[in-house]
Amino acid sequence: MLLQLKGVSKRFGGVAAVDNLNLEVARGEIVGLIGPNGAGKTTVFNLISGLLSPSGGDILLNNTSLAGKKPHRITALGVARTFQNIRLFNHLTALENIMAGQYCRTRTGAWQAFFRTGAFRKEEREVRERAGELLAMVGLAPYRDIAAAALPYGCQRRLEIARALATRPGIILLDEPAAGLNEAESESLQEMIRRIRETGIAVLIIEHDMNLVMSLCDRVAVLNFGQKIAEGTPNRVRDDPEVIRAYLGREETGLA
Amino acid sequence: MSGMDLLNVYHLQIITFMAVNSILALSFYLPLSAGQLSLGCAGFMSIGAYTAAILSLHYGLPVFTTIPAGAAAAALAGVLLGFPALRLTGVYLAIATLGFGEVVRVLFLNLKITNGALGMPEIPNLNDYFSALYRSWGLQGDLAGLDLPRLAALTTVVFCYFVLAACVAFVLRQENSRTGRAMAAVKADEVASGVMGIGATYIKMLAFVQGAFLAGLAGAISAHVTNFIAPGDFNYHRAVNILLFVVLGGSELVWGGLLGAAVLSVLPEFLRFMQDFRWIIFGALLAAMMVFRPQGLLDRQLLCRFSLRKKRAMDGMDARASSGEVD
Ligand SMILES: Nc1ncnc2c1ncn2[C@@H]1O[C@H](COP(=O)(O)OP(=O)(O)OP(=O)(O)O)[C@@H](O)[C@H]1O
Ligand SMILES: [Mg+2]
Repeated sequence: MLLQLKGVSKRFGGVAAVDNLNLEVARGEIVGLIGPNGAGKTTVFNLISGLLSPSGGDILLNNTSLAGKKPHRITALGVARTFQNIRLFNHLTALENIMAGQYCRTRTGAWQAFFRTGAFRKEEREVRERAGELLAMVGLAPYRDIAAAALPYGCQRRLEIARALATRPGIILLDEPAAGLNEAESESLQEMIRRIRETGIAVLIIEHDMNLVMSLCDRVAVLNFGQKIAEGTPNRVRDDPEVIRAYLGREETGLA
Repeated sequence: MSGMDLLNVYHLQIITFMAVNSILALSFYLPLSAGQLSLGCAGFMSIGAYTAAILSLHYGLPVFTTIPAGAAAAALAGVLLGFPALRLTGVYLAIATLGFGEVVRVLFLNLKITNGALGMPEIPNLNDYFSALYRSWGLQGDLAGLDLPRLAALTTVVFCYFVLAACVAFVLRQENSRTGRAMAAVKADEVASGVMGIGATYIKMLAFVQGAFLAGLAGAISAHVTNFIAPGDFNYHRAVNILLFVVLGGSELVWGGLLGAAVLSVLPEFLRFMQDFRWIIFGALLAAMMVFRPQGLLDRQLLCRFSLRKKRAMDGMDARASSGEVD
């Protein structure tokens, strides 16, 4: 199993944002993580990527525990993510954002840069080429030299995915990637996620757009008040009475 | 001839200080490029200056070992200060580093080996060093119309600008490398940079220590240019002055700090004829600057406009040559 959450909990003061969660993601799988607002989905991502440490339980990647590891170490081990409220490196260009994402897969230091050694020039060329490929893959080639902050919203979402892919992950965590996208953009996002999976990368995706979840995910887990209340194929989960009750209990979320 | 007048030792010293101040601007710029506002430059500068002065006066070491030693001592202090201080950010880090500078100053004020408030006189001078060097080569009188003191002073200038050029090249090349991108990423969003695989603690420490090294280097050189150092040379006025180089010149770009250092090194000399009024003019200019151009003299937009013009010219040439694409 690629990623395993074993009885993971996170408490903020008295509130259990995540409560005894068990979840597994296999290589090349697309798993959906859904649930009403405040259910604890983003907290799960923060726990996996090391921004928060669990109050209980353990998270394993390729059977090694991620407990106590810093976020950048976890990324180096193969976990990448995007953020619900986009966090790009705003004044860097689209290309530079992706180049920065390749940091943990490259080696040359400042002295090699100073003397422009062969190793430096070679690595720099490869980093640039790979960044160009990733930009093209998410359809942002024309925006190469535009500052990230100046990009249209939909492009920022895609750039964030490309930057995450630049870390060469085994699994990518996408936090509401379709939020704020129009139908055409959402369609091409699905296409992109399928292509990501084809390269052998597993995807764990938080999403409120049920059409997207239904058509994309192999498996869906449903969180409510930090607890997993259902898990299974999209169709089974959609018809689960407890899931329907969880969503109906809170009007603001539209379960289509 | 007026050309010769420009080369008098007084002018040459101002030109030398321009180089030293430019290195100081770099030392402020480096931590800032990784998102840290550090006002420790004056403290690190004094560590470099005193290390160089003590090593050459008390231990008789030659100038070309004391200058690197001064820079290294400051870098070491940077590591020691970095561990506690880099937990802080923003204005808290600024205050902590300013406090560090004051601690160092008071320390040098009270130590025996630094000669306390009286300062350290008769530090071996770069000019004298080069004079002796030329004399040892058998050079006595004039060379191309320059007497030996002027020739030595000119060599000091060349030496300082050579060191500055090396520092600028290092900073620029680092900026366009993996390390520099990591620094920019940490500055832009520390949390996101961590999740992108960048160890922010290491990157911030690196930028901070590099800044300390350059400040120490500038201090060591200035000790060997001025003959005399005292704790008062490195008080918080100095720290604020270095801050001004970068804020006035433009903090987004390496060139901004360099321009600011050049302008602020020369401006007081140009205003000298106004005597004490010059500080009023100086202050008014700074205030006006902050009102009308808060981002500093140079910013990315200005640079883009220049490079766009260049690029357009290049595109034109390319079209004529009808060969491939630019870049
Ligand atoms: N750092 C934190 N400190 C305190 N409480 C937090 C923190 N992060 C999240 N919470 C709380 O934990 C609960 C779960 O939040 P989380 O952001 O994980 O929900 P979510 O499922 O992502 O919701 P949404 O769909 O709105 O994004 C919420 O009640 C939230 O207020
Ligand atoms: Mg969320």
